[in-house]
Amino acid sequence: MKKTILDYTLKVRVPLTIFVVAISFIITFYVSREERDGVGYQPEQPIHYSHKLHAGKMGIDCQYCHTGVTKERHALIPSVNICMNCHTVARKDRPEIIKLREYYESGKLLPWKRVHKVPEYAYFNHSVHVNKGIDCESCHGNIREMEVVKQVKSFTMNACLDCHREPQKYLPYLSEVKEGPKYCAACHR
Amino acid sequence: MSKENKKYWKSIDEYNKKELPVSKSDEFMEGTTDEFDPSKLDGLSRRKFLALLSASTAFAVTACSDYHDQKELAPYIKRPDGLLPGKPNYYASTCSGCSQACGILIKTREGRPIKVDGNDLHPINKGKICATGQASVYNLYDPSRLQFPTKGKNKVDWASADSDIINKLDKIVKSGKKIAVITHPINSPTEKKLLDEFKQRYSTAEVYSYELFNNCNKKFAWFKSYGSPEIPSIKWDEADIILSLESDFLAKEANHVEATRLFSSRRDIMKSDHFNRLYVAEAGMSLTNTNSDYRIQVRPDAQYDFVLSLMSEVVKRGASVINVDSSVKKKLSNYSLDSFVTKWNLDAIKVNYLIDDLVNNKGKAIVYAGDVLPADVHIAVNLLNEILGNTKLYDYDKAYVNTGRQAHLDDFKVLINSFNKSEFGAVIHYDVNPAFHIPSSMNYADALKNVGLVVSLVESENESTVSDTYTLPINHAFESWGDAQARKNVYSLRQPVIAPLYNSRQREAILLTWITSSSEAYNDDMYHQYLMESCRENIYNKMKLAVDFKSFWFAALHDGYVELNKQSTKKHVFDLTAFDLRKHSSASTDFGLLLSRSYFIGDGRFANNGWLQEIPHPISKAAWDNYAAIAPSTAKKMDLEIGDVIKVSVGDNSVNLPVMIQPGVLQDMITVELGYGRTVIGDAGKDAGINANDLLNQQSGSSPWITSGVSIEKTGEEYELVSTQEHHPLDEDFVKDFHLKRGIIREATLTEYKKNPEFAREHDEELVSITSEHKFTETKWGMAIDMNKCVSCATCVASCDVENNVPVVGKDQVANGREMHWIRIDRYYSGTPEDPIVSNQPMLCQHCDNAPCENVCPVNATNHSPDGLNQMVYNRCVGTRYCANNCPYKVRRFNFFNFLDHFADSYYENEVTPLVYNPEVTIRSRGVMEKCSFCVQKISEEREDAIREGREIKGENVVTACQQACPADAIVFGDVNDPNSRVSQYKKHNLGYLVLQNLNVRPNVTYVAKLRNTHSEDT
Amino acid sequence: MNNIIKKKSNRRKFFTTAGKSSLGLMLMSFFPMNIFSKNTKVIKLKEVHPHPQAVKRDNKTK
Repeated sequence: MKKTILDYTLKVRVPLTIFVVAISFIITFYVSREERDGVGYQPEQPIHYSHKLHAGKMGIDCQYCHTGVTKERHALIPSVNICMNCHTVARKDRPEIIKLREYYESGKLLPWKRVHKVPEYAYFNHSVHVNKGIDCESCHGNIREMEVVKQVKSFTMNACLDCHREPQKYLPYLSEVKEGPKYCAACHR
Repeated sequence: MSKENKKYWKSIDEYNKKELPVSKSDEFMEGTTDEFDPSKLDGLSRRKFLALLSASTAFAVTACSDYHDQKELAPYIKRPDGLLPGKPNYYASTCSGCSQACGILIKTREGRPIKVDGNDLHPINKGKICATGQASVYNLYDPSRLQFPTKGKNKVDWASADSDIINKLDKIVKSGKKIAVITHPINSPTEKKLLDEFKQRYSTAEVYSYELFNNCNKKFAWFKSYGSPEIPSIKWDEADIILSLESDFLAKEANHVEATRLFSSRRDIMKSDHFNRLYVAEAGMSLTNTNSDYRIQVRPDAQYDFVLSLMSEVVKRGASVINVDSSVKKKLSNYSLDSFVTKWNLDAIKVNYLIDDLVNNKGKAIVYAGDVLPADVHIAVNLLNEILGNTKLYDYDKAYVNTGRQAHLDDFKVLINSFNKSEFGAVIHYDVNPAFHIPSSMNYADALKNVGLVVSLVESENESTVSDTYTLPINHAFESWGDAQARKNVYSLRQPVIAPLYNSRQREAILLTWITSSSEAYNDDMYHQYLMESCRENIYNKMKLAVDFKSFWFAALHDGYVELNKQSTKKHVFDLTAFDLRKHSSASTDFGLLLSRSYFIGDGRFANNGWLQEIPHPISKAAWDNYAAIAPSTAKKMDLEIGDVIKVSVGDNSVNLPVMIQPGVLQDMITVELGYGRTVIGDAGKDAGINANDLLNQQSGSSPWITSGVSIEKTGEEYELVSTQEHHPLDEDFVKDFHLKRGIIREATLTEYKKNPEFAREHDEELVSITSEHKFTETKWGMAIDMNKCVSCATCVASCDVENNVPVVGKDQVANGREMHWIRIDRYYSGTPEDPIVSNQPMLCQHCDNAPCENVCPVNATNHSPDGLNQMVYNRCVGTRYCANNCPYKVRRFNFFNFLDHFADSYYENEVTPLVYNPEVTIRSRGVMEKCSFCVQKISEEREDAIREGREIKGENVVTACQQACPADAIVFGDVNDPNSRVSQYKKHNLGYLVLQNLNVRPNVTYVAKLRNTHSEDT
Repeated sequence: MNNIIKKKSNRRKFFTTAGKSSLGLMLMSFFPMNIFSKNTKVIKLKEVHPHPQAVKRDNKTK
């Protein structure tokens, strides 16, 4: 038979291409797994707020600012007037505090860069978890040591389900903990 | 050559039957591709180029964007006190959809109202409102709302508009010309006071209150009968026998939310000996009629004769509880029930039952005449109730407060005449639309041109604002202060829950500014202060309470109403002189016309509310349109089909209307609903229906909604009427009574039930599953719908729409069957087209244990939760629609379009409409299947509360949107694994059945068979 | 790729192909871009303020 280009293509080019694509895809997929799940995301914030200082060194409780965490679905980022509770006097000459002051007085929205987010079709409820005794660090990592907030755990459905299926493994500090819901409607309404 | 043997040939060769050329069997002739040499092709083809281009673009795009970016999150700068983002707040207020002023509870999220339910504490509506009230939250975010005051086509500011108007009004008064203030009936005592002050300030001002559908005939009759126009409310729950004359009291008249609750409390299967019996005598097929036990067809102009015939029979039997005057007896001798039955060809047995029941249940029955009937019928009914002692059921403590004398078409004729004679210098449209409501033949809009100053205080543009000098936007009810006193025993308050969205002002505050004569006098708190003062004077001071006014005021706002002390009612004595002893002309037999209001869009003010337009008519299931409903016999006689346009003429006025063949309408009668055909309106309301206001009866002295002697004429045109249900021809054997044969609707009479209590379940089959049953050990959610209580008012549909962000699809998509209601009311006919029995059934996702939809989803987007819910995971759905195919109840709705921007100019895509969405429910995109979720967001809320409070989930704490809305309490939801829950009682009851039980899908919605309270076993 | 660059006629054909395809792509992408852009477009919503004088019912959770 005449050696046509089609022959060459099918015998050599196609398998070669497939092989190259597959190998690169597989390697990239597994190597980038953590990064794709958002782990390591550490955006720069409009005001350089340091959790290490406030939550770590000064020991302010998470719930002082993130007030919704036991009451409802959202943990709530503190509204600026909570910051001003202290910062009307505390360190009011520092440049970051002056920035904060400007936001407070002008009424302009303070656009924090969101770090932890579950997709919009999934409904995550903080109060259900916190009221069962789960510590903030179990999902958000050691925030008290972070100058800039970084996402340390993967927020994919698989990661959530791992803990729902074996809560004792991930939450050793809780003496009795039931398995979390594993059915769709718990999160996907 | 015969026809069959005729052969065709293309060439001589073929004709001579030579061998078919070889080329006929090959696709291409030998040698066609000989010259094609792939190696001679260009190195780069267009195909290759595109492939390269798209691959590189894809790489570039993915590389350039940060897939990590989760956007921003901006908190409040100063969080408003009492507002927790993510938790709803509830505010008590008063509905403004109609004049009944039901108490409402507005649910807000982050400061914006997203759901309206009834005020649970309110003594009249007790936590329920109607479908219009449920969907009224949308009107706050209506994109057609006016945003700033305008003078003609130019934007102006309030200050200059106010000062100009005050100036002009003063000049008009000085010149002796009059000022007309046109309003809807004012049920607010403070507003009444305000209008009086306005009249004092501008001495030539006159106030005209009107309403397209009013109860003035009844008020006048009551005034004549008892000396006061105070109409009592009816104790429907104490009535054993109800005779409703041309009255849709369960859906259209007075406070039908209250009436439904009271009526349905007497259709409780747990107390089946206590059922009431409803007789309906009317010409059309109304919602009340579908719930009746006996139907009698009587023309509206023959109702007077009917009442008098009944009266004469009662008196003849000596059953009167009062002394009947001899003059009355003399008049009654001209009437006889038997001759009435013969004349109008009624079923003598039914009428006999009626008269027997009325006579045997004196003091426990009620004869109730509809608002559309003329005053003399009401007076006759009053006398009949007196004779039967039924006045015991009149509740004067909760009487309807008289809103004062209203303007009728006669008064408008005089007014329009005065306009044309330039006797009026100014007209103020106080949140009204007279140019639409007044028949166009009276030329109101033209007459306005002779008035110098026309000011409209409206929320959106309407037909009356086109001739405006000034158009001033007013606050929506949710942005306003106010009060209302629709009933004698309750003073309701209205408070604003949201700061005005636009540069609008409260309409009362605008008048107040004009009264104080200076545009600077206005401040935002003006009417609030005025209201507090008026409340202090009229309510607080009269109540002699121990608390101070401020505490009283805050408590009143918290509750939403103040219950007033019982006032001593003087004894109501029937004034016999009211009863007209003269001979009445008998009813005609030519075509009669009956006008009634729309079920959902009011008198047209809600025409832009897509949700309300799309809820299908409870009987005909037509949406987005009105029509002329005629009897099947009339249609056959005139050779008309659904959609044919006929010209209906009343006197000199005529309107072209499409025909709807409505089984149950009396022959030679036409019923039409008004409120449609708005022309100056937002995008949703355009081209919705036909303006039939020209058909109002302008003859003085007659009821404007009833005309006899109309003529109809075929025009040969056609108009598309869309319906959410096919029009099953009743006489087609295949579909006739299939709902009874397949056990979808199971009905019996009370007598049959007593004889055979298991009738609802006796035809159920023993079911065997080939798979092992799923065990539900903990909470299992189930629902029961009591068909005895359900009146098919469709409030559940409206509530579900609002709660679950169900999109409005528009008329063209409803024509394709793509309406998105998660719960629908199916309406079935049985019997004959002339005298049908109508059965209704709310149908929603049954959350089958053995769901046929779950098995067939190729991507497992729908499956079952351990608490019995059929879950729908929107993000997984690829849009195969196999599940909808498999669903035997056809309750799955598919998003064929991205309905959020399906309308040509992206109807939902503006800065206000998306604010109405419930943030707890996902917005579905194109290509995704959706269905009732048993309000899983409310179940999740209850789980959240249970975990926070450290307790178990309580089934009765979860109230689905449909359950919360149902005025009849027909829907019950809860834990079927709890033997004490209400829903378990219904599930166990022998009247509880499952629809399409024999399919072994094991639905979790139990329907309770309807029992009609007739005398025998025949329905 | 050499066959494209070396021969003049091929170079010409490359550019004409590129041009025609880009034009076609522009025309054809109008419709899908329409659909997709609306999905990612962020609608700026009107700022809404709760009314300061409204009296609310007590919530279940404080």
